[in-house]
Amino acid sequence: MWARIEGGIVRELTDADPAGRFHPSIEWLPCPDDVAIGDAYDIHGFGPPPAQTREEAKVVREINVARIRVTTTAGYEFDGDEVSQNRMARAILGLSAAAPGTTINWTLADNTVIQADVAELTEALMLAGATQAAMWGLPT
Amino acid sequence: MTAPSKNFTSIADAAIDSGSPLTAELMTQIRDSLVHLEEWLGKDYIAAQNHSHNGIDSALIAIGPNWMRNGGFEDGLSNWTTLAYTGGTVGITNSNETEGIQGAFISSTVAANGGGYLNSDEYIPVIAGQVRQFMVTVMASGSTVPIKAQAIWYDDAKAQISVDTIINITTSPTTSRLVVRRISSPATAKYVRVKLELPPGAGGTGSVYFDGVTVGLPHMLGGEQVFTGNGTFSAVWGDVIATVQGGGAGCDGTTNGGGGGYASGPVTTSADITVTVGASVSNASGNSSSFGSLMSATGGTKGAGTGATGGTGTGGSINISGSNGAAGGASFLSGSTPADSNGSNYGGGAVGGGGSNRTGAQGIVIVRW
Repeated sequence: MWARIEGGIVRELTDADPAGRFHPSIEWLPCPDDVAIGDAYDIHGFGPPPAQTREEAKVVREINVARIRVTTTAGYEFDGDEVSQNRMARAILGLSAAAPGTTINWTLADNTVIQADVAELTEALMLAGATQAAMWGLPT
Repeated sequence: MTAPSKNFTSIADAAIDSGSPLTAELMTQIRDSLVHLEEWLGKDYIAAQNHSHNGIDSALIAIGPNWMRNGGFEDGLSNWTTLAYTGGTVGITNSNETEGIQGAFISSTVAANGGGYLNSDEYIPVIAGQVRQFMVTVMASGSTVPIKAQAIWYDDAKAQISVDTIINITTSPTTSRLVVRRISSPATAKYVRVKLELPPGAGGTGSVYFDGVTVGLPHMLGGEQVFTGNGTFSAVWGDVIATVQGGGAGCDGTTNGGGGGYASGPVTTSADITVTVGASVSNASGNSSSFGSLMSATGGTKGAGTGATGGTGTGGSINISGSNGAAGGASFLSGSTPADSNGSNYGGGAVGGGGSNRTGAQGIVIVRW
């Protein structure tokens, strides 16, 4: 087995001898069969994948936050990303000032539209906020 | 052109039978017809009893795109000067030819001596500094029998200037290969000749076969081979244009895949070339594509945001990196990829964001000659 190393990381593996098959500028090293793509490589040899950096974790968190979806007890699935949370907060504020029982057209994650009241939106907002809070911690 | 000064008259049989008189009119018609024929042939024509082919009264001229006379050896060894080294033989084969019904062979029985050579006799005019194309088919009886072909350049006094290699190998093909080389003539070159040789001192004994020698203006032959999977390129040896696209990286739901690298340009081969095509991958860095050791393009990498870097190209006259995954994982042969989708076309990196694994597009290798 041979590994292509790039930036200290195993990027590619091949079981066919790469000699003569690739441009000499591409670095291939013989490696044990248990080496996997993503493993680290340094002067000590091959090792487990390096820990995720804080910046990488922030990028992953941003993607995950953008994918938040929550389901209320009524069975409605809401988008829970930060933009959706802002919209829900504004709607809750407005409905709170309106007559009791007032509703608003709300588009759910599957693009169906419901008549949402303050209670429904408040539950969705709380669930979204809790989900985001759970994923906010990062490695130091 | 001026018309003949006398008319040609067709004399009737009745005017020259035994009873016909020799009239002034008849004699005038005979004389005028001769004058007419002489002037029609050309007033400056110098008559000769035999029409000669001595290269002065009349000479062969090269016609067609091949300036090498008898490059296919259909006229035997005409136009070629041969020399057999000690233990060697130079001759014509009609069992190992590539084109027509004859080719040339050189055999050796002593590896250290080699077999011999064929030199083309004619000094083919060239324009100094311009590229000329040389083609020849070659094969050997065994893979260790060496093959050598050269372009020899001469100045206006027909003194040798320098030598360029058309092919010079010690690991030879045992089935016919077409060698195509495009070579710039030296700054003072006026003529070129071709030398074919089984050289001394390298490899084993046996026979080598040459056929279809051509010299002409440089041109592509119209050949193209597209590899979407691993393979071997053996269509021609020599000057080809290769394009190599690395595979795009795949990704999982929270990462991206960079686009594969790209390289393209002319390369010169002297053997069959192993072609590697980066396969498509899900949730992993892209695989490299390669045209042997001459040109490669790595796959994109899988990573978070801009950490999903594009692959790189090496060995081409144009080398382009794929874009990073955050920018859509584009390669030179693909557009950028929208979020949460597989890589597109060839070398496109996948882009995550939807929670599912996505697949980077495979690479591709294209060879033209």
